[in-house]
Amino acid sequence: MQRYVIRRLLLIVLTLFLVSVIVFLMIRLIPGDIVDSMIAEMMRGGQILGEPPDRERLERAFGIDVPIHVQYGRWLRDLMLHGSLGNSLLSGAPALELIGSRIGVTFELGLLAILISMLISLPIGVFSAMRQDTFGDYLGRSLAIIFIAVPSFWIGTLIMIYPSIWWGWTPPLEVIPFTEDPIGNLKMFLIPAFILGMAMAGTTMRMTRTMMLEVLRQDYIRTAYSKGLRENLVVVRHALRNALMPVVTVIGAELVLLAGGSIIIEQIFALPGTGKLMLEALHQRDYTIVSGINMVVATVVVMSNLLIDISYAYLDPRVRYG
Amino acid sequence: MSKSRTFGWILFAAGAALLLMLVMACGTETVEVPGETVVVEKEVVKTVEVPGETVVMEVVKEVEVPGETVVVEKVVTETVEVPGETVVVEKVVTETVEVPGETVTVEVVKEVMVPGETVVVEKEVVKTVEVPGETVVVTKEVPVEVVKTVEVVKTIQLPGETVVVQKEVQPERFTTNVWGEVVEVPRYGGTIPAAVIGLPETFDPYHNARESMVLYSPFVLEAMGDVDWSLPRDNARYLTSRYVDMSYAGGELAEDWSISSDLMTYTFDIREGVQWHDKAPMNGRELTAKDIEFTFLRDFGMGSGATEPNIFYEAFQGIPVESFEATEDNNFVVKLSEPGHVLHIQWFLGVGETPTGLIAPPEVIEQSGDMQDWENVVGTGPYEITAFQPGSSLTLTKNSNYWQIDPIHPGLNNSLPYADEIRLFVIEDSATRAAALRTGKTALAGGKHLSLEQAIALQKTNPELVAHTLAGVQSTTPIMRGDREPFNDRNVRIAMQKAINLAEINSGYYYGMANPTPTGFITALAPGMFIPFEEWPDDVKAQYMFDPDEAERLLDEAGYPRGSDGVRFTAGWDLKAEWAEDVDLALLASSYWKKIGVDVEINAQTDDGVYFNRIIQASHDGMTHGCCRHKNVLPVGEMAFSVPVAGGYTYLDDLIARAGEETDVAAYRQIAREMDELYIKEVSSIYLGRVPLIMLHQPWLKGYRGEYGGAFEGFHRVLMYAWVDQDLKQRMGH
Repeated sequence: MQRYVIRRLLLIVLTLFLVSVIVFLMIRLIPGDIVDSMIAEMMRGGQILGEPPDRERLERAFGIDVPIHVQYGRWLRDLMLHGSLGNSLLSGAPALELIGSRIGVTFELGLLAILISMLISLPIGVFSAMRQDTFGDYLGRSLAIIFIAVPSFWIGTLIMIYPSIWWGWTPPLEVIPFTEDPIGNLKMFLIPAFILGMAMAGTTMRMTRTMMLEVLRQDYIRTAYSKGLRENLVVVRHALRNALMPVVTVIGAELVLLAGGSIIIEQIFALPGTGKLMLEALHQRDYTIVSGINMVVATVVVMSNLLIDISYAYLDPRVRYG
Repeated sequence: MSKSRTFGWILFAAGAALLLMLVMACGTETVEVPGETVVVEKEVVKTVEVPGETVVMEVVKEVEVPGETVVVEKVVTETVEVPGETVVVEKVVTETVEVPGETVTVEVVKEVMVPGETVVVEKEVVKTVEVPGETVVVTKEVPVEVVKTVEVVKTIQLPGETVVVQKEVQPERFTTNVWGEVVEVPRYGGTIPAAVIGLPETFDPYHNARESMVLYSPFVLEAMGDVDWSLPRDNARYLTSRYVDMSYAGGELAEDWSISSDLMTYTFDIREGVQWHDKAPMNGRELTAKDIEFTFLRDFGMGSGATEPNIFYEAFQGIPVESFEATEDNNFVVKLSEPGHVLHIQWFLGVGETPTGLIAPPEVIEQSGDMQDWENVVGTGPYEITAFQPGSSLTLTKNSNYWQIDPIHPGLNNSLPYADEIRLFVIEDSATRAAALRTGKTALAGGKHLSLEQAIALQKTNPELVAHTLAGVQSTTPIMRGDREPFNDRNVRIAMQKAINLAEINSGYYYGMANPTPTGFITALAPGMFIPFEEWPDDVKAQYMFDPDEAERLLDEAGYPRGSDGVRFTAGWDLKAEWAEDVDLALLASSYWKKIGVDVEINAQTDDGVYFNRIIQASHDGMTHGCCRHKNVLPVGEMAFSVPVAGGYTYLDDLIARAGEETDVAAYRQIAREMDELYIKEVSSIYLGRVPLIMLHQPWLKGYRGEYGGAFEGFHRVLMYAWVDQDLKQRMGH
């Protein structure tokens, strides 16, 4: 196990290095940089009366006057030597500090979404498998399709608009730290988390049903029944545990989708998470913030997947890492 | 048996007699409680007789019913009767029924009676039923409360006691503002919640001059100049913004200023009595000209610990500054090495789109190096930052030592600001913004951040919202590239304009709310520069008239006949959609062009970086999003972007160069006017109608007249002059 973890960690380092190169390059290859935006805004704002703006001075000030590989080298050096993701081009504030002030929101949203998704998907998935081709199964499967098909931003917008018209109610629009007021905090997060969780639940529900159906047809399950074990015991102790491995894998894969989906949901529900910060940074070509968020998200995703892989050993005793 | 019956009758007769006496003495009070009726039976009156005066001190009525105590009514009246006049100072009527197991409070009324008139100061109706184990509040109505002030009418010396007779005086509810309008007298207190599209990550203007800075800074930091609030404002649209023509500028931290005739010396008379916020390390000390000097040296990289200029103040770079100096008589003097431009005063005063010249606290910068952290922010403005949730909210709390007297209601001599607190919430999604306004979570919304459709829908669902329709800018302004075919031919451009049915767009697309009358680049608010449509030459007017046949003829003449597929030529349009509905408008315009055989392909640019880069690199399509028509101020600079940069035209080059060197205001304005004349004549961009902006606000936000600034700050800046009708807000449940 130890060797496996070390090997995976080395692979993670390589993965993150590749991610950093790709992200660093891709964001800079998009036409337009921060200087373009600034110059155009100044000109549109009537600040420059036909005098050519000093582009070189601005590029130098933002550190983008040197070739991309030099910029990358500087960035990597700061990361390796000082653990710094650089400073925001716009504000000059440390990127880690800015991301740190927002990551908690995204993390909480994601965690709640996963919890809600599991609370919805696992019972319905198991029930659908146990009552295959019954009305309950059809209902569960239909729900899964609806959850997958209905875009979360659409539900989010409806929740924002209609209750405000019918009952004069909107979800809270100001983040209250969990440590200050847990209930107030949850009031803000539950609805967006539920919407995100619903989208995840559809896939997980279908996967749970399929895997449960497969496991329920295994000989050892029949044996368990023939030994006279109660259905609940058979399902929970013998079937579900074995069916969960692929489900856990799917949840791991959905983490990436969650990071993407949260951008729009954060926007609609005024949640100041990294998704929103990313969008602002992208618009303003704040390269360090975009790269920083991508690196943080990539790190979280690869580490989560590592943890999921490790969890297989606990979920299935047959799994051995060597 | 007969004895007890007789006793019963006696008791009844006594009760009846007592009741009759009460009825005769003060009338019978009856309180209706569900299921029973209680009659008032006892009255106590205490009167103090003073020679020449009668003071009725107290009246108490009670009802005692065998087996239970019912306090039906209690009246306390303090009355002073002075020969010739009677002043009833206060009257309180409380009716309470105590029934075993229940308490019913029926009514509480307070009244003040002044000779000749009765003023109901406060009236509350509360019905509460308390049943053991539970409390049921039946109804609660709180009618309008009139703020009371107390005035001592008379002091009476009685043996052993002094009776102070007070009279509650209703204050004036209305006053006249600086524009001669009768308005409600502003009241202090309350919170104004407002939505913003972003909040800064760093609060130091040296490190940030972006939109987010403009949204917060007017409340906290001040510049030397501001808009002149006492000016009449027929069009309230722009006159709340620092982004104004110099004709509308007034002093903020500088009380006055002068410019030498050679435009090389600018002298600012710094206002006295301005205090920094009472927060360490400034601790409320008085602002001096030295503080102004500190900020300018820093922004220009000439001192105050700064070796590099503020990179966001590109406009400053062209100013040939020789020195900044604070004089002993509290003046701040700027000396240039060569004559300055006519607009340089604008940058020094901080009256421009970018918030230049915001004065930073020297001690904070010296101690902390900068003011990036919100907790370090100290200013001289009407509010202080007291809480910040990154990306979510900013709480601004009133600066009680703020120097400014309300310029809009000068007769009141009221200190600003009125509201105790302003809370800014980051709400970027327009549907969420609308929902927040609908539910009273925010006080106002509109302008560019609500579409016309959303604003109209809000008025339907929430008719209580107060709406202001403001003249807008035509923000979707396609400018045609004059440096390449086919738009380098003026007739082609005229044909493109003549294909557009402005009246139809107005009625069918803008609900008849837009202005279909063409305008040039410059607005009527830019003095001496605006050219109204009526003054345009007839042949120029004709270029803007809808005439698709004439458009087709012009295209034929220009050498663009219809091909076999009916298409004369195709052109791309880089559309920067500032409003989502701009895309729909672009599609509508394209449908008109299609009718004359011009195929326009819309390339919606949602990303500013891509859009600006394409323009600056001149890699954009045949048409792009120019800016704008009917702009308010600084038109020369804006036209210098739209026409030569975005449009590739050269016809303004000479004028732009002349404007860049002009030192005379009148000559500068004349140049701008000439530029607009050419702009109109050359039809470099298509006029599609000016869309109105709609501002909506809660009825409890008073003193807001629909002002909407011309730059990023939108409506936020005016909030320091607005006030909250807290009773109305409470009654509306907000």
